[in-house]
Amino acid sequence: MVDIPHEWVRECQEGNVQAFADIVGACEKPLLSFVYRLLYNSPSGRDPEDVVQEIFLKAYVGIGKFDLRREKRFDCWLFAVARNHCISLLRRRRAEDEATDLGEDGLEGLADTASPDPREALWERDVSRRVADTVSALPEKLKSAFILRHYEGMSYQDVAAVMGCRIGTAKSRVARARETLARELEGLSVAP
Amino acid sequence: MGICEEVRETIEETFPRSQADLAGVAQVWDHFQECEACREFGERLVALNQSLDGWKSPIPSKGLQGRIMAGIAQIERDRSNRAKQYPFAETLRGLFLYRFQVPAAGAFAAIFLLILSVAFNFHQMRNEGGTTASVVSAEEVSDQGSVPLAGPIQGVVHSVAPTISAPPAAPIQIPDAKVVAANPYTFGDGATPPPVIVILASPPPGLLRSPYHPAQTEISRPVDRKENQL
Repeated sequence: MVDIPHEWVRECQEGNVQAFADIVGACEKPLLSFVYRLLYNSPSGRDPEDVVQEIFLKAYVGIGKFDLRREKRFDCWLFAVARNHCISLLRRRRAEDEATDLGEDGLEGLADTASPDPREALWERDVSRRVADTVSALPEKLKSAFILRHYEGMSYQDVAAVMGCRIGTAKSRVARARETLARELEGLSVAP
Repeated sequence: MGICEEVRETIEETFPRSQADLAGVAQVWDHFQECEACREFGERLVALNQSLDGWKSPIPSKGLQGRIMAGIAQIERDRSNRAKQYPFAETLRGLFLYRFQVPAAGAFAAIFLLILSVAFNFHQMRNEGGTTASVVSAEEVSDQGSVPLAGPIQGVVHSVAPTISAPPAAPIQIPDAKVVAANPYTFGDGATPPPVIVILASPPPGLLRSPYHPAQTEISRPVDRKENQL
């Protein structure tokens, strides 16, 4: 969850490019985290940073459409743009029918772990891979809702705003995702 | 909703990552002392969240912001070139896309409706062909004996004593030629005309057609014709 002041957005709409640079600085990390998880193990075949770059350019071109009077949070609007962009990428790729090979065990797509101990690092990688595979196997709506709630720390209201649904629907999607993950990851522990 | 359901809902919304997170919610911790099932639920949820947190996301590379700003600089250069080529169009485009979407949409809708209504009214006026209805009631004619007609239909309405019992008086409405084309001796709705015969003076040539004989160019006196009397 990133709090972007409305003054930055107003200055961007008036043509101040430096204000947009401040927005990029504040949002690039959470946006990359969201895009990385949403597109993990998907046939999009795109580098998450390239996708984040496209999303920011799209947001810059369409920033005039952000209504400062009606919309409360700019980050919700930005994440909605990001989600829609990722969905259209996936649909386009599915239509082209090309799959990306992430390697034999998919470890190339995973972020590096922090542990210096090799045995622990291997364990963490194994857990990380299993969690990543399980979350990425969720249906898109459940996956998006869960990532926004759990990994991005958004409130149910913000999740509903990003996904364009009611708060009850957002809660239901997160709950269903959690049930599926609890069932699939039962018995998985973090420590070796 | 039972107390267990309430506590579990509270735990889920808290998204606890450790036991300390659960202990921080007084209602939950107190209930855990009494309900083992809910305590196990809380522990499983903490374990699940810790597993999920094991999936780390990458940190943005140092060059990412630079690449994004380079892309934006390119967009600005393209906009500037377009504005130099088509200054007025670009200004309008910017205004309508980003500032005045709603008023612009409303203005376009209003102009469209105006054009539609003018076209419709023009079409109606052409179809009417200049005839206007002159409504004269039978009582008016019988009271006054004769009534001059107003409008483009010149002449005088004379009352004629009916030879048979007349139906109740109804206002006379001279119909459009098309309406009586099917049956020149009745009105468009099939009703028989009241026993008042309209005697028209000679209209200017080409101005009028008889509503009872659209093919005719002159009005004839139907007084002597028995089929026109009731």
